[in-house]
Amino acid sequence: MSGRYDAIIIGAGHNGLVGAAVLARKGKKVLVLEARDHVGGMLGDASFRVAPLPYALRPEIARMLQLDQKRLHGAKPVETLAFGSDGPPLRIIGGQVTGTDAITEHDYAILHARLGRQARALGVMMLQSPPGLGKASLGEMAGLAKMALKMRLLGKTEMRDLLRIILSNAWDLLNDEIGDGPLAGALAMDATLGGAMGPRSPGTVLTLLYRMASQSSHGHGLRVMPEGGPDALVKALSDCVTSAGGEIRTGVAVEKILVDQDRAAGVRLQSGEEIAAPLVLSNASPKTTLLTLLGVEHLDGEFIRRCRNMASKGMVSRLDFDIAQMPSLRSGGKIEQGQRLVFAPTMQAIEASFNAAKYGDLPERPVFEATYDTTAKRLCVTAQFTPHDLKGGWTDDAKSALASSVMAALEEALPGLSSAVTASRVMSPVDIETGYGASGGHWHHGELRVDQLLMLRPFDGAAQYRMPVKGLYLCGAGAHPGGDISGAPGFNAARAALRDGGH
Amino acid sequence: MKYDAIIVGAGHNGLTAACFMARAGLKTLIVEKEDHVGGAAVSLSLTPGWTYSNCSYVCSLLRPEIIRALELPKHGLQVIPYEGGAVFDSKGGYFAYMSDHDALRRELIRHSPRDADGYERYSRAVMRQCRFIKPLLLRTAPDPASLKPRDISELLYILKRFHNLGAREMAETVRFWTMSIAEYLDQYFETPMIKAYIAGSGIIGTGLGPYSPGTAYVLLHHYMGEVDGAIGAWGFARGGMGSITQAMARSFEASGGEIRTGSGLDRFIVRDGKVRGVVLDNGDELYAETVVSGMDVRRTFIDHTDEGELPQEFVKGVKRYRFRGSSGKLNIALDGMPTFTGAPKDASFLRGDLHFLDDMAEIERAYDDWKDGKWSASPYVDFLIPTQIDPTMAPPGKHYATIFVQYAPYELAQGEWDNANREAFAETVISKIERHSPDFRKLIVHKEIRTPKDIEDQVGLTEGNIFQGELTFDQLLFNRPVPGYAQYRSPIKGLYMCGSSTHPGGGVMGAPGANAAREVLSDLGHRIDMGMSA
Repeated sequence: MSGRYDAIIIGAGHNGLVGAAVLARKGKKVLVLEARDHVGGMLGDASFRVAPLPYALRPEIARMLQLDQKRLHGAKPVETLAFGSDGPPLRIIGGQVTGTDAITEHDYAILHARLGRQARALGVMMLQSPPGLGKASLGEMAGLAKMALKMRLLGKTEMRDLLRIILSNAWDLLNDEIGDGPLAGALAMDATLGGAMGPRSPGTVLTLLYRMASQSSHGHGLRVMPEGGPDALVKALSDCVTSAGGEIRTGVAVEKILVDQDRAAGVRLQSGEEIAAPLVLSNASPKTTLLTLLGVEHLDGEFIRRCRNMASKGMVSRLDFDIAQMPSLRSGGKIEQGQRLVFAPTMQAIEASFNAAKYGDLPERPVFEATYDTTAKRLCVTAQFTPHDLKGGWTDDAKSALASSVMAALEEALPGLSSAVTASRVMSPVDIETGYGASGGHWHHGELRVDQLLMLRPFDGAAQYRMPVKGLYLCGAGAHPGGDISGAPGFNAARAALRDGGH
Repeated sequence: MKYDAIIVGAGHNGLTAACFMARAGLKTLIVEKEDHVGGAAVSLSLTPGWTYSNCSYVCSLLRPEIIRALELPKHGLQVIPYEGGAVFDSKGGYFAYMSDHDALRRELIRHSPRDADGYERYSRAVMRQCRFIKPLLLRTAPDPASLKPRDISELLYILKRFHNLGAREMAETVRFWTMSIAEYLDQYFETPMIKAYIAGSGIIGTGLGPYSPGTAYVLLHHYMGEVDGAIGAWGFARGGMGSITQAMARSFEASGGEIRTGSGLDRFIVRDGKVRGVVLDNGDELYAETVVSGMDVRRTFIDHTDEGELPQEFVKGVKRYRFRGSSGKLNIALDGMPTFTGAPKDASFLRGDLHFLDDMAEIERAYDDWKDGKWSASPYVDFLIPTQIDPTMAPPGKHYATIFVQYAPYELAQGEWDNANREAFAETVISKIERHSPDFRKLIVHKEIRTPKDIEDQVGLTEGNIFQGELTFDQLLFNRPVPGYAQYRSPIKGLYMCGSSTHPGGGVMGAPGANAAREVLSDLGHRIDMGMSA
């Protein structure tokens, strides 16, 4: 065994880094092990990013890690351009939309404010350990009580409204309030992106509220881009770890979590090297952590069954297009840095693209969001629904079919784009799975659904970060409160480990 | 004429409410627009010689407490349990469901020993959910936004019951209430046909597919019934579903109640925010301080109430309430018993519900068609020949088939529900059945085609939704029909709702009617004892 550490963090994704930073700042000697040759996980580096738009880092965490929020949130929030089937795109920032009629603008502002209030009431639970079922501690109960109080404080009408829509679908809510179209399409993309649900699936209001719960210095539910891009966020987080005395090693893949007398004892690397530590936090997905790294021999049958049953079917592909010269929009004007383009002309179109994916096929017309990096001259597209279990597999043909269907939709808004493409890359859910320890290639390491949230995340019996083997914690998006670049699972897991003390 | 209470609509819920109110000594009148009582639970003549259950066709959910309290067996109700059912796949195989446990186990093992074990786990899990929900059916849902002692204590009652399940079961319950039926069944079974057979109960009558979250709960809605104390069992009412409502009508009249058929409601008489009676479409004015509507929430408040009498927020909620019928029906008189190529001769399971399916994806695709405003190209059918069990409903040697079809939209994206489209819809269904029963088509003596539009026009179920409104969470419990008005009372004093668009929802259950009666009687200061267990 090589040198002693207090804690090992498997994976230098943003949650792993946040967890490591929290522990290191409490004086723990931490080692972060990253299989790739760069830190940041899905935030990636200049060569590729799964998540090019990091926007949801909890302000509480940023404050605690003494990060400069002004820089992290950029000078202004990201503007969304929602493309319809024709005409200029709608421009959306938070509760403001332009390019549509006055009634829709008004209704949307009201809806956005209302959902924001409701999301914040639920958001109370984000930085809390989920209460244990039937054995909740006082602190956990206090968290629940606080959420109940926040809901009551919404007033009777809004509380009832929240309880009505909370398990409902985005389709009905948005049809009721603003009607179908590019605006509803953009919101329904928020509600569905990363998951395996179409806008008509019950539960998509909850995922919409989940995204609305994000906070920044510009307001709630906004996309923000750090000054200096995702790299700046990654650097800020890894600096937090190293400045507190933590160590980060890249290019070292963990092969096994070592167990000694039912306690985590450290890890063994693929190189054969063993590193001892009484505390192991895994940023990999629950299935990868438990079934591969830990091994079923340490788990009971029922636990394994529940782990295997966890819904984590990835539906998102990432495509990069290098562009020689970005053409102008058909409707006039240029795409600017810090804009997010959404190609989901209606909710109907999103649902239609989900239809094919349910049976393992690629949609004829995928729906997607895109950002353009003006310095790298790269258009980053996040497309759905592209199933992990694609019929016939993710062959090169399948990838190029996806790329051309995406390009066809882009070409309509940006005439001349396809001839300006100099290179392209397609990252399928299978690539995301193998590259980032995310089973099923699922962004959030597991579907964000009521049956996999709070005390049921990742699954019953494995919630609250603590795994059946003492000293092993789950600190990735598979743990409560789930995915997006919030840092909350890492933060909560590290605090749970510290509370358990003794390590 | 002056009554203590008037009930609008003689469906099974209106009748149930009326029975309890008459038994409490109220001078009670039921008004019904049709010439017969029964609503969606009636037996009519299909064609000379054939009697059939006109709309709802199987019996199970009717609460035993109500059967007892209203003495329905004494008034002629007899329920015959049915023994099983089957699904036939396109390759000539079948899976038979049998109510006999040992026989079922052998059948499961024939397909997969693992599924036989899975079934044991599955049935225990579902039974636990049934036991959890059953007592909630005959209780009024608490308003979580209210601070009234009654709402708080009711909420605490539910939370306590929930807590008493223990950690493991609590988690299972949350999952069960929110998962899709497909994923729920994937946990227990591997054989596609077995999953497809069970999944049907998760989607019948809904505007959801088996992959949609929330459908596992709908399964429960079809499972929580009982026949002769056997939970989850289904049965036929002898003489058709009308015998249930006939027995209720007799029970009601035996308690001194009065029924007027043949004229429907024109409007409620409302003065100073209080209901004073009703005006019928024949011009008759009838007075009562208590009026209970068995119609759905949209008909009651949008079609028959002056909007000015209602708060805006309530009207908005009612208008938003979703029906979205998704089911059609064929009722077919048969010259003899059809044969099924996939089944052994005289197999007992042919007396139960038959389905023609390969897997759950086939049902999901049928749902996708419906989303696009088309009837399913390969629909899910629930096919029954009840005359095998109750031969009184057809001439000797003849039969009738009731074919429930999922999915059919209320409005077609292309064209109307005209005769050509109705025939094309029926043809889709018949040709699907014909693939499994080659002699079926030539045995057809008479057929009745019912689209959701017909169900609306003929039975009074808005948009043809068999549950008087979708069974999604935004329309269940304290959300049904409108948040803040889930306790059978309306914004108009004295005007109550008792139809299936109130908690706990549709199915020939009687619970909404009984619950509404309890609320009415409690407001009138009557002792609340309806012979029901808590």
